[in-house]
Amino acid sequence: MNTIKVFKLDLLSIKPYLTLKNLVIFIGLSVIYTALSKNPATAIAVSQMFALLFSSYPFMVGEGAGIDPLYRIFVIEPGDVVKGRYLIAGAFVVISLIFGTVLSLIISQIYSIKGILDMLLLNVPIIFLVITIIIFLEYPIYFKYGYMKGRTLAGVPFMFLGIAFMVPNFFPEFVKMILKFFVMNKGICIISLVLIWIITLCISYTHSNKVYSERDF
Amino acid sequence: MNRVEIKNLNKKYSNFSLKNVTFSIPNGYVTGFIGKNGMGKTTTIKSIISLNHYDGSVIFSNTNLHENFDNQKIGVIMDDSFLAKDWDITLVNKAMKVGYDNWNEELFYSYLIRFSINKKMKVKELSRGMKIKLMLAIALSHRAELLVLDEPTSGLDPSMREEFCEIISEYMEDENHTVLFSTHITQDLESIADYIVFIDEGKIILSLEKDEFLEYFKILKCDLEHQNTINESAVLGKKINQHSVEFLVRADDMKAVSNKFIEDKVSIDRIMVLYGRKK
Amino acid sequence: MKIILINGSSTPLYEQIKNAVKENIVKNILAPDEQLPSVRQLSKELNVSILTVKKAYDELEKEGFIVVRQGLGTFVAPLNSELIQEEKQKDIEEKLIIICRMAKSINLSESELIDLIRYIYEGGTNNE
Repeated sequence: MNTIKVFKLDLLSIKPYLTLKNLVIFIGLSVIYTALSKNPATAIAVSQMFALLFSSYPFMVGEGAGIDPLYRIFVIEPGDVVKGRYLIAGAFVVISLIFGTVLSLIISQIYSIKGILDMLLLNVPIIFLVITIIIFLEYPIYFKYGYMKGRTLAGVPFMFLGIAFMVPNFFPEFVKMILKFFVMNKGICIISLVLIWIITLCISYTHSNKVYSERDF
Repeated sequence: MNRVEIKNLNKKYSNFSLKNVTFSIPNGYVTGFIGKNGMGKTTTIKSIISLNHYDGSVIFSNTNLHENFDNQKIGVIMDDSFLAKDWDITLVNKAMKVGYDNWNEELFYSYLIRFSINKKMKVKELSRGMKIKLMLAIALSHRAELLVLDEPTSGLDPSMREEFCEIISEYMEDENHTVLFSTHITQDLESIADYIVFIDEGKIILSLEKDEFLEYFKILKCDLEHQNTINESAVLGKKINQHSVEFLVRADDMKAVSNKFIEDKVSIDRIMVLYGRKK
Repeated sequence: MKIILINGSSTPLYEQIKNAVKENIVKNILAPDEQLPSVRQLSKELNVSILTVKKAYDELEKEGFIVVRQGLGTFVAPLNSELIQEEKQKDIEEKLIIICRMAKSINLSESELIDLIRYIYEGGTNNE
């Protein structure tokens, strides 16, 4: 019950920023980027970037407003706050995925690109998993340090992502081997991604719970 | 009966700590919590409303002994408001409706009219006085039985302070209502506080009925020449001025005052200024 | 009821309240059996703490000026002419103390003062 309260209150706290103007910018940017790249997948990538951005909003706005003390005053357990925030993040990712998918379908119609459904079927779940993993890495940092202090640290997951893209340049043979293996065994690839996702979620969630309940306001 | 009992509260920070803070908040009365800035008032209050972690215990009792006290019945006013800056009053109302089980929307709006707060205003557009009134309206609109007010009157002009105190008096007409009121502006307390808790350097120095509190001390003045004739063991603090010395002494230890000393009126303000002062 | 409190006074607030209520009773502004405001109401009206009013009421009750009827509230005690007589006499005494002090300060002798009082008492001036 209190989780729902947190979900609603978090939404209320960012409501002043969910204006029509911001929605227009959000849709406009997605359309422009996708149209420019002529690649339907861009729509999904762009919308996911927005999901990532929005997922940190409750922390950003909440910190400025002192919403964490407010939750304590409402006698809401820290565990419920954590649960509520993960739910919010999930909701943002799902909504923007749906939006991105619809947009990429429209784009593919306009440019009459074929085979879009196969592309989406493979990409959407993978993008979903990757983005949520990034969020899972960020959240414990925000829960421990708050948004202002945590923001720099939260960049770390992105750095890892950057490094991950660099790695192939240094060990081309090794990476090629792995890629080959994954291409040959798509099933294993997806299963291992799902496994990583579950493990990250568990670690992230328990850690967030621990650090958030220890915080003083 | 005590509404809240605080026992052996300890909390350590790098530059400051609460040491065995123990006092109680009597049910049905206004307890003034005084002390200079940085002496532990806010930290203690944060512990009471469980905003921070501490060693020791804070126990609430309910007048209905068969039920535990519902902490949602605490109304809070703190220096930083808990309201998103970009919320307008309508959103504040929505948020409180979600948060408080006993939220009374009509009551809230009637207080806003009484306090002349415009519904279309955003939290960040409100002056300090308005913000305090808004938080007071919130505290009064969810049937709080205990108000915990941290420095509510600082930064308010005298007429607003008086209005604030009048509202608190009105709230106290219900004998099941209790207030803890921290401040360093003690004029407010002289009119409405029934009990005084005095904190200094993270320790509770005294916790008494207001009149007893004032009678506990004496303020003596003398010229510079005679300052050493005072019984040092009774002195709790002193201030050496250009032409005179002012002593804060324990009244019980200073029954007979030599004619070299003049007794001055004791006020909460003077007690706070002089206590622990060495020069 | 008329109550005027003086904040800087050396008389404590509870005593000022006590005296004011007494005066209201003696002057019959408050009639016997009339209900008084509750402690909390009066504390709100006078802008003083609850315990201050409580102390005043407690003493008034002890002195027999007011009675607390459980569950009903606080009332002015039924007419007690002896008490009122006593109170008025006390008032006269207090005023006489002031008069004597003033007399001494201008070296008016005791017999001169008594003469003056006798003259006034017998209607020598236009009092009432």
